[in-house]
Amino acid sequence: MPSQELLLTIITDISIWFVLYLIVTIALNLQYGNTGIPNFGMVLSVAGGAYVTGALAGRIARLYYNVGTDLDFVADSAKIASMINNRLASDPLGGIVLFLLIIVIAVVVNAVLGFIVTYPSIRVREVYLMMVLIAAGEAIRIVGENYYPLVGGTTWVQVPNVFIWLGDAQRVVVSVLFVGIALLVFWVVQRIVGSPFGRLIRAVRENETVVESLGKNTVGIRALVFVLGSAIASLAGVLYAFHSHAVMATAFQRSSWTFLPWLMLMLGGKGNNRGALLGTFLLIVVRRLIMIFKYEVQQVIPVEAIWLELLLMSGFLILIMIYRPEGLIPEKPIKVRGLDYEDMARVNARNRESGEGDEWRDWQLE
Amino acid sequence: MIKVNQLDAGYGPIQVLYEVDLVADAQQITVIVGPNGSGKSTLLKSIMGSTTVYSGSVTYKGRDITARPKHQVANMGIAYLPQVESVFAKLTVKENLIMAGHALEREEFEARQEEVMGLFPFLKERLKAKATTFSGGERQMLAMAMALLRKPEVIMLDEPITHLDPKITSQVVDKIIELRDGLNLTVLLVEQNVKTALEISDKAYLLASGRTMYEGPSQELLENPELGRMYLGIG
Amino acid sequence: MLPTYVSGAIIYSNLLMLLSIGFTFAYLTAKVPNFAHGGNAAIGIYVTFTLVRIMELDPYWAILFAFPICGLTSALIYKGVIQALKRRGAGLISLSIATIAAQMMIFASVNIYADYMRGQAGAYARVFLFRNEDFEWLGLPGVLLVSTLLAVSIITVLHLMLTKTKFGIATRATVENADLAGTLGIDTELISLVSWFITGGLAGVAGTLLPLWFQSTPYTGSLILMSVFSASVVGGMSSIYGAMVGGYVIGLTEVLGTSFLSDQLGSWVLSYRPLIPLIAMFIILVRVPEGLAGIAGKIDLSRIRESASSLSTFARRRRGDRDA
Repeated sequence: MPSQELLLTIITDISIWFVLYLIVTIALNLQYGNTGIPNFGMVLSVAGGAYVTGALAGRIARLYYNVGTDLDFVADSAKIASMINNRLASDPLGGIVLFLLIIVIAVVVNAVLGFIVTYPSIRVREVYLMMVLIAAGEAIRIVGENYYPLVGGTTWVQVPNVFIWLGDAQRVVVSVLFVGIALLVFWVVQRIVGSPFGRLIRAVRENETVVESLGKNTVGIRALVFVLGSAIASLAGVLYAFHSHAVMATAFQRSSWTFLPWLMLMLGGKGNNRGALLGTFLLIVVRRLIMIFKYEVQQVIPVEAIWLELLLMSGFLILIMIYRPEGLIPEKPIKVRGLDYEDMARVNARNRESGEGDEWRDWQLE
Repeated sequence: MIKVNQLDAGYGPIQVLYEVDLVADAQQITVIVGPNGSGKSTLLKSIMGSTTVYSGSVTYKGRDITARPKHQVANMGIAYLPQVESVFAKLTVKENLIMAGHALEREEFEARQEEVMGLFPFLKERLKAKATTFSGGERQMLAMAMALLRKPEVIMLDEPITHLDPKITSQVVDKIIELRDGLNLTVLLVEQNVKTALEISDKAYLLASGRTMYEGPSQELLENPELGRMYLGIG
Repeated sequence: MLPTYVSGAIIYSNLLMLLSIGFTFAYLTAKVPNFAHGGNAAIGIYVTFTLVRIMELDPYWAILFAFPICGLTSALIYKGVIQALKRRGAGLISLSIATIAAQMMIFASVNIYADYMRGQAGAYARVFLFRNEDFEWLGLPGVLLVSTLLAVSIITVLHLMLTKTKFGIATRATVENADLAGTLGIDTELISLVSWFITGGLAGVAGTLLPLWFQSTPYTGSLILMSVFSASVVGGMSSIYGAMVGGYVIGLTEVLGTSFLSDQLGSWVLSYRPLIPLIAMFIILVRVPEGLAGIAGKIDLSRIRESASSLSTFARRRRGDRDA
């Protein structure tokens, strides 16, 4: 029977990853599941949130507490962080304010980043949008790994522990707090998705042309949703940074933060947040299991766990797409008042009837 | 020749045809008329294999061709001229014909190309021209030339004269009649220009909202103003 | 003797051009972007490594092996993944996700292989450069000559194939209107399959030459794909001739641009080199989204020829040439 300590560790471990990935997957579901925007550059927002935290949390705190200002921020980040932590230990308000401040800055910065990325690409062909998003994800990694003052380039930057004032209760309280944040995000996005705006974005997903002809600015709507999703996903980056007390640019690979959320969403069922939740949970558990049994596996197959995991996960995604594309929890077809789902598809069919050409997005209802 | 039996078909999850029956007899012109959006084009496309079939069947000379890949259906002897984009605009006339005759040996291809240029002499001078330079009517003719080059047994035409210059219309109409009388082809025709269509065809089907509303000799439909008024707005 | 950076620019542009031609061609036939394209280049890189370090052969033999291996990989992706999905009614985005998943599989496999190689051939299996294994001729690096020769011959062969052979014309027909091609009895799926085989093989070949000049890692394939995107966007994903020009434009801009900037601003610029094609992509999409091929399409060449010929007829008549 594992000790209470070990059990606690496992639970907090799983819940942290669950929280982080749930936020990202929900953001992805908002962008792709609901609005049909293929965000192959999710890592941009997650890394963005983490970078803001790594670059600014320490800098703001050291200015405020006036400690370590003569040291090099990156090279001596550990020293600076421990000085800040000393002050934070007796300043709960400071910790909380710093935490919230960084969140606000990160969300704003990443919303702007999301806007910049969509500006040239949201109105052109879908293929181009996909390529731009993939490229943007790579771009932030290149900047992060090479611009030393940001987050230490290929090294890392220490992040002050804003919850240090909680003392021994830290681990449990922080886990609970983060779970609370994730649930809050879930609830907020559920509200959005169930609102008239939610029905509008799904209508845009089904048939942009029809919605456009009704006078709505579909390009603007898609851009807005993308920006919103970027802002939400950056939250995961912030929480990740505050949790691990460090930011390392090389940790933000697209295989982890773009590809994996897609797998979680497709497994759970795109288009609905419950699906996102289920997919995230299942895969987090699977990954943790792989981590735990990594040693045993490597005795049999002499292969690094990360590559084997990626190989299996990507193969798994292909299988899901072929055999169960709607995921474990399929999306319920939704009636949009004034814009009937089926009606729109019937309009499509009628267009094809009169011989007009095929459009990928039209009847292969994604 | 072609039998469609209780066909339910559409595009993806959207059903367009409901329990459609049709028989196109050999060496006859069968016409399908009906209001816009009634499923006429979808019916032709379903025979070709381009749509999603939910139930029912399509047989050709007794063989089941339901939902077969369209290139297989084409190679069995069925030619299809779509309503729009019936030729490769970016390819030259010669290349278009080569595409039509891709399955033929060189000698056979040369022979058939000669035949077909006899039917459509204006193509002879324009062999190297890209099809973009052709007018709508000329493209229809090229499409027909391409179809005939393949020596099909069945030819399906989707609104061949609807968008044509009236001057060319009678030429094309004559060619369609020639298909049945001169070349002994089975013709399946979808047309908006109802009067003309009924005048040249043997059998007619009236399609509305995806269902077969009427089936019978074209003459009858021509002479029955009530049916015509109800569905087609003539009379 | 050419300055190193000029050789580098030409070699890089040749290889980038080969990769973008393949990427654009695969997209044009199947209407799906092959995001696993970089993976095939990565396989090519490691074929060269295996031949040089393990089998101790001349690196250029890698071309012979990489073409079929990568061609088959690409064809397998098309047949096993793309076709299976298309049959179930998958749309563009689903198909693209599937190619990304395929890319991840290749990426993971290449890393596994590199780790395994590290056991066999030492630490340099994950980072290597084979300039020293290359031959020299008239003071020029072998890979410069080979890559240029390869680029020129492949372009020529492709052009001839597309214009003179039945299969090539059928490919152009499929690209323009796959539906119509199908109704004429052309097996468009077979054409897409063959084109993915060819383009996969070409990507592999381009990959084999990369280590002869550029430092190569398991990540090189994925990284160069970003430049391929840029080159394809510049060319306009509507013609392989556009991709040819795009490959060279981006290739030269990347290498020469970095060289110029590092002279002006310092060598720190060099590590940001991958950002140049990305910025170029942004600019093109904002200003000229249809790319070079799109612009060229707007200039209707046949109309120009017709006007030119009628002009000359008119001129001849004026001169009194009664037969004009």
